[in-house]
Amino acid sequence: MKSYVKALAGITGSLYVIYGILALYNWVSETFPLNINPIGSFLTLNVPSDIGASIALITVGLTLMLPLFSGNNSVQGLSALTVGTFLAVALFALQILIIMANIADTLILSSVGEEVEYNILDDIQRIEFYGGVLSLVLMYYVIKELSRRKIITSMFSRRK
Amino acid sequence: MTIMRKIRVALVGNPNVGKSVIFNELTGGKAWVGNWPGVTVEKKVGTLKAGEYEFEITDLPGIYSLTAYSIDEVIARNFIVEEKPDVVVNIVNAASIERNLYLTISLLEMEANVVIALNMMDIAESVGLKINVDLLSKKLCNIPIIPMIAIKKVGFKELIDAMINASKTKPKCEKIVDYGSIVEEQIDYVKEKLKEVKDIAEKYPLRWIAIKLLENDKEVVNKVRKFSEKLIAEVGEIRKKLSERLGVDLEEYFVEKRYEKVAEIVKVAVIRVKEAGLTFSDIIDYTVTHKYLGIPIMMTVLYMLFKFAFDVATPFVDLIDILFNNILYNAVVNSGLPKLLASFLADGVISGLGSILVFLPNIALLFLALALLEDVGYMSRVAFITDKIMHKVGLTGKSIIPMVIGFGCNVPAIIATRVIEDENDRKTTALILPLMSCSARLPVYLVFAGTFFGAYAGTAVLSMYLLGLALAILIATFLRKFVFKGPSTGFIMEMPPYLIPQTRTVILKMWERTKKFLFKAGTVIFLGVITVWGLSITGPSGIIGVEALENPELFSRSWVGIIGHALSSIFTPMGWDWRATASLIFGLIAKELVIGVMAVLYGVSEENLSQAISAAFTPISAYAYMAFTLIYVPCLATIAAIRGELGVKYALIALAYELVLAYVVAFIIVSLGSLLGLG
Repeated sequence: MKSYVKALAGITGSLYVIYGILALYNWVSETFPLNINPIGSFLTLNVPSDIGASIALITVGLTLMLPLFSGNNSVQGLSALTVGTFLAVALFALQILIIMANIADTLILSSVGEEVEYNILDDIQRIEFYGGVLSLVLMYYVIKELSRRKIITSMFSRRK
Repeated sequence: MTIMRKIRVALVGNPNVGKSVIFNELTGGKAWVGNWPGVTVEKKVGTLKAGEYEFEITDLPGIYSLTAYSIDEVIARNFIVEEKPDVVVNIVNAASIERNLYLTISLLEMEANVVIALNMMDIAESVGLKINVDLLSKKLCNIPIIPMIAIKKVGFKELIDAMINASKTKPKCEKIVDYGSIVEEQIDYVKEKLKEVKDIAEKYPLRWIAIKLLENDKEVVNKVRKFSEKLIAEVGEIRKKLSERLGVDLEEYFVEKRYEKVAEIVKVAVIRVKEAGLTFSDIIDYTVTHKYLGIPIMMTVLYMLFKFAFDVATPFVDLIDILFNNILYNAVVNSGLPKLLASFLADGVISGLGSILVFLPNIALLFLALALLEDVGYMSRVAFITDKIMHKVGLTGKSIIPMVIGFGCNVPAIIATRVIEDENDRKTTALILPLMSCSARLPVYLVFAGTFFGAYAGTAVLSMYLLGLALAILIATFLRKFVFKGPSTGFIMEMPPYLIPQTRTVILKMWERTKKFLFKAGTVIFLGVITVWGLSITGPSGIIGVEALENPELFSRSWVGIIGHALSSIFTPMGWDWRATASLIFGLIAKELVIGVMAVLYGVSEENLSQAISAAFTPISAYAYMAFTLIYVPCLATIAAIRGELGVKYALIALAYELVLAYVVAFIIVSLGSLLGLG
């Protein structure tokens, strides 16, 4: 695995872990009476307050970071990078679907005279979105690497 | 007019061999879906017309063998020996041919008219397997073998031709496995004896019945026992002697010999032309089934699944809500119809259907996501990685699949327990499934948590899911320790290769499951809502009038009010009034009804319900009410599903234990709250 790929995976993974921990912090602060204030945003990106999102972000982050600790040709590293990028891209796709759903919902509710406030930036300024964009770059490398090792020929041949 | 010749075909194969793809392709995806007699295991039948032939194709459950250990296997083999289809198409995964041929051998032993659809030839090639189809056919009594790549629609014409040709011939495989002279002698002896039992001899293949009797197959033994107790006793003696002589359990001996036969066939007909390297599935599984990462990855996938089902569905939910509760409701109310009829249509039919159909988008998307995960092959991994944890409570990894589905809806979850081979595991899982908090209970949590727990509403809702899980674990441990004792048969599950999901298969799976919900909405729930409406505007004095729906005083004189009053004394320790109690009664029909009925009983709209209940409950009694809603009797459709899967006895057990458990838990919550001064 090329060192720049490892570095990009490490940086992307760390971002996911950081936002995952912040999401956990927010969830704890809103769930238990600890008198601590939740963090609205960090590095311009919104921090969710959701235990599920926290688990997902930390898991994706740790999976993406795993190649940093494995050898250049290790199967473990390539496997973790593959799964990590697939999950990150799935979260990205899901975030886009949610944005589309929110836009549609706003239009529907407005059409019947309900007052709805929706700011698309709230959904775009999320690690799921920007991390997903970074992961697309990683995915390009993953597909190239799997093809080079003749691992995905059978999978993609079935798609014809 | 040409008369079509009807050919009855059964499709049979291991799970994940592309059976659904072949069935859908042959039948055009149009299938009649019902249940197998006596059980709620799904039966799919489709038709295909080809020239002068009309095929009636029955899709049998995915199975590995034809023993009596799982319902699916019993269904498949009973269909083959009793319904005697003209042709049995055995779909074999060419890439896992050695494991798949065990079922083929078992089918040939049953003297079925077998045609092999040798599917996934491309994958077999990619993993370095070269199959000599002619030689394979020769070794399997010359049965026709059609190489296929179903997903690319390769081999279907040849398969149809083979089915037509096979329907014109009789099966000619008398003895596919030679069990050795000592055992063969006894098989022949039992066969001869069976000829004297006319009812058996006329109906079943005798060699197969003889082998099954020697294997001590419970189902076959019971079948024969009805006609000849003497023969069963004699076979028992033979079995005992043979086991002593061979030094091995006779059932094991038969299984071993069949595997030896498979190995012998594979040795000559299959050549490995290159060593299998790493596959895409291997790469993914390395991390997905990882000791530490496996569970968090599973939780991430499930998080995405629920996010997809709930967040993405929002506009569809609102559309349905507006259509029913706004447009249609107002149209009827302002239509100038007589008051009673307008109320029946608006408050009964439209409100009732609308309150149920708003869940349709969530349920459809949940089923879509589940079908996707199943089709990709991930659900098998979920079962694998949770097996260790599930074993600690006496269950199997396969229990996790119905449990996850249970968070969406308990009905398909209970039907999904059929993937569990071990009967004790299956019963235990089906009985704890109603404790999985389905989406129908969510509106109750949301209203109560939102009203009483402010910023901690999310935690209160989450605690309900955790409470359900904790109780499920507790009950499962209890049931496996004291009721369904004995070890589990263990965990045997194939890890199919990851595949790109087929849009058609995924959509069909989603539609079939969603259809069940729609049917439930259209029948049980709809009737329930209409009944509530009827019982709300009538009482012992006759028709009270639709004014009762808006006047709590009048309402208390309706049947609903009277039932609620009568039962409220039981719930006095919890501090719930008659309206809360009456709402719970209607929750028996469907939990979705609780909030709607409650709003009617408190004489407010659902939007203003918070105000009404904040006066009627304390935070502790509200929390106890949430817990009671979680635990008490599952909805009618769930009870019906349990009855269908396990019988009336277990449906009654589920009813009883959940009522008692719900009462006890709610009582404990209220008592603890009082002790701590929170009440």
